Amino acid sequence: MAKSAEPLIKKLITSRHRLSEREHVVGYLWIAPAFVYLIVMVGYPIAYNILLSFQDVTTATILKPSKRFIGLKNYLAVMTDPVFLVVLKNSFIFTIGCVFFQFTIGFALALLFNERFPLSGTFRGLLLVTLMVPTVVVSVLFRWLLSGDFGLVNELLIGIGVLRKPIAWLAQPRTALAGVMFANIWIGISFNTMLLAPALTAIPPQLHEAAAIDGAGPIKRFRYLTLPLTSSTIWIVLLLGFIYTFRIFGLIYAMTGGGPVNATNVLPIHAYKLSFGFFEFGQGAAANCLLLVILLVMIAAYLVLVSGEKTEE
Amino acid sequence: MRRMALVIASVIVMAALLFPFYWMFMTSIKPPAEVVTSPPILVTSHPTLKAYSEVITKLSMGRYLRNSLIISFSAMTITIVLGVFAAYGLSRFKIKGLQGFLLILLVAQLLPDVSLVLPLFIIFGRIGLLDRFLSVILANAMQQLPFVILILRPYLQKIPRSLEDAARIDGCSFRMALTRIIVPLAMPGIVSAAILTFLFSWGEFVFALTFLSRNEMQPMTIGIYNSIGQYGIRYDNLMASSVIAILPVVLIFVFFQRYIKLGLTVGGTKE
Repeated sequence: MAKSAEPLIKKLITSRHRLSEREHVVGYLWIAPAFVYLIVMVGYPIAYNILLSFQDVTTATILKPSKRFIGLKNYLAVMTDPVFLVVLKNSFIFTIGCVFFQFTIGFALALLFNERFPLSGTFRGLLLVTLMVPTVVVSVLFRWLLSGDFGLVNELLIGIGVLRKPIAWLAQPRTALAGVMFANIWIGISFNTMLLAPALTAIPPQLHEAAAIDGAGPIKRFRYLTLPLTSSTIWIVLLLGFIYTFRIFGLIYAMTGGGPVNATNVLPIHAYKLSFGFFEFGQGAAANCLLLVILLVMIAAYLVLVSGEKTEE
Repeated sequence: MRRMALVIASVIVMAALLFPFYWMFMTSIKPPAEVVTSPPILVTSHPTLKAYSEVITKLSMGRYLRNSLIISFSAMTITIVLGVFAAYGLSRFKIKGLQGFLLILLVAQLLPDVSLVLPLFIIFGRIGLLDRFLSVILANAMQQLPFVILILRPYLQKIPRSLEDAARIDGCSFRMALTRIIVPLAMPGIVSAAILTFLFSWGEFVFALTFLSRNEMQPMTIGIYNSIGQYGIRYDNLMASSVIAILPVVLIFVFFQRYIKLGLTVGGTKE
């Protein structure tokens, strides 16, 4: 029995060995199509965008292979434009405001659904549906809800006595940014709940019981147990939220187009409109690069956090 | 008692969060006279499908939907094929610089679509791809490929290597081992990746907005965007188009909810 098995084992070992020798080359063949695709469709365009940002690109020269180099002129034009400061301010208000509310509400919901009660699982699943809806649908839906002509939000606020007259939320420079933030917060709540819920479930219930026996109330338990135990996830969720919110284009573009009078003009919209609205393609490319720099800083921070998380495990 | 309070609280919260969907649907089945009223009519007593027939006949919603389907299915197919190959390569073989490849994927996944629109527009313009479905299909596949590889890799890693080796020793060809063993075992991951790529392409906006200028080529998202200002704002029509646009989302959600959650949690936090 043992003798007859011997050749088989040998065969197994050598074939295993052969496999692993070939592996080196074969592995790269498997991943090559995807990475070549990404180099052609992501790497090259980004390099090309950087090149464009130093060139004079007009409607006449856009499709020509050679364009004139003009140094930093595009960047200077973008950054000295007074609109740019407004755009940056809007971007940060929009992003930080959205992340704050999405996170706070999302965390509260994650805590709520972490309790065991009938329907909690169903509800948590149902939340995900808002993430799957095309953003342009969210845009038109909230245009309708926030409309100055019998929009539901106005009717509700007048009904409970907060407002006397309807406000055209998205048509007024003072309220438009709040309006688009309202829509985006609605989308983002479930994203935060979804990412935070697993971290809460991972806390052993015995810890809470032990703390409760020692006399810690719900607030103390939240402050000294839940928060520290979920802090790494919290930071990851906040950073991801920042990255995903800072780059938002479609939602705002279809709600207000960046207006009225730049009230909702954020960096992605500004960069897009420089290229495809004003046909200042070189400046559009420069604004793109500035957007990329800001995001890459945040992405780097996110990666450091995620890799720290992994080594801890 | 406490459980009762929790149920009531969460029902209220969910009702408030999901109310916009109700309002979308209700607006879409109202006769025009009931749409803009004060106080708002919460439940119409004269439900009608007039808005739906109007968006299908006058706003060519049917054509937009067909275009969206072509784009989404093609992008999904390219992404899944390339994604399965790459995830297999990354999980089964010794790849030097594995961390580097994963890093590229993570960063590519987080890059904004808007900053790729301008260079891709010029590149596609030069090679004559503008106003063709292929431009948007290629761009959509590019955007989702990193995410799909990252979702699929853990699934392929979980399949014991010995299973594949045993099949090979039993005389299974490599292709057979892949199609008979690896793909079926990784199916939950592949299904959730396919669903998510389909839905992302379904809702994609900026590439289609920029690359497809001819009406006959545009997908549903641009169709809705175009109809915002067309005849003044007709909210019953806009909401009817919106309901049609989220129909596939709801259907997929009802039947594949488990896979959506699986995919999103893997793709969202961990590499």
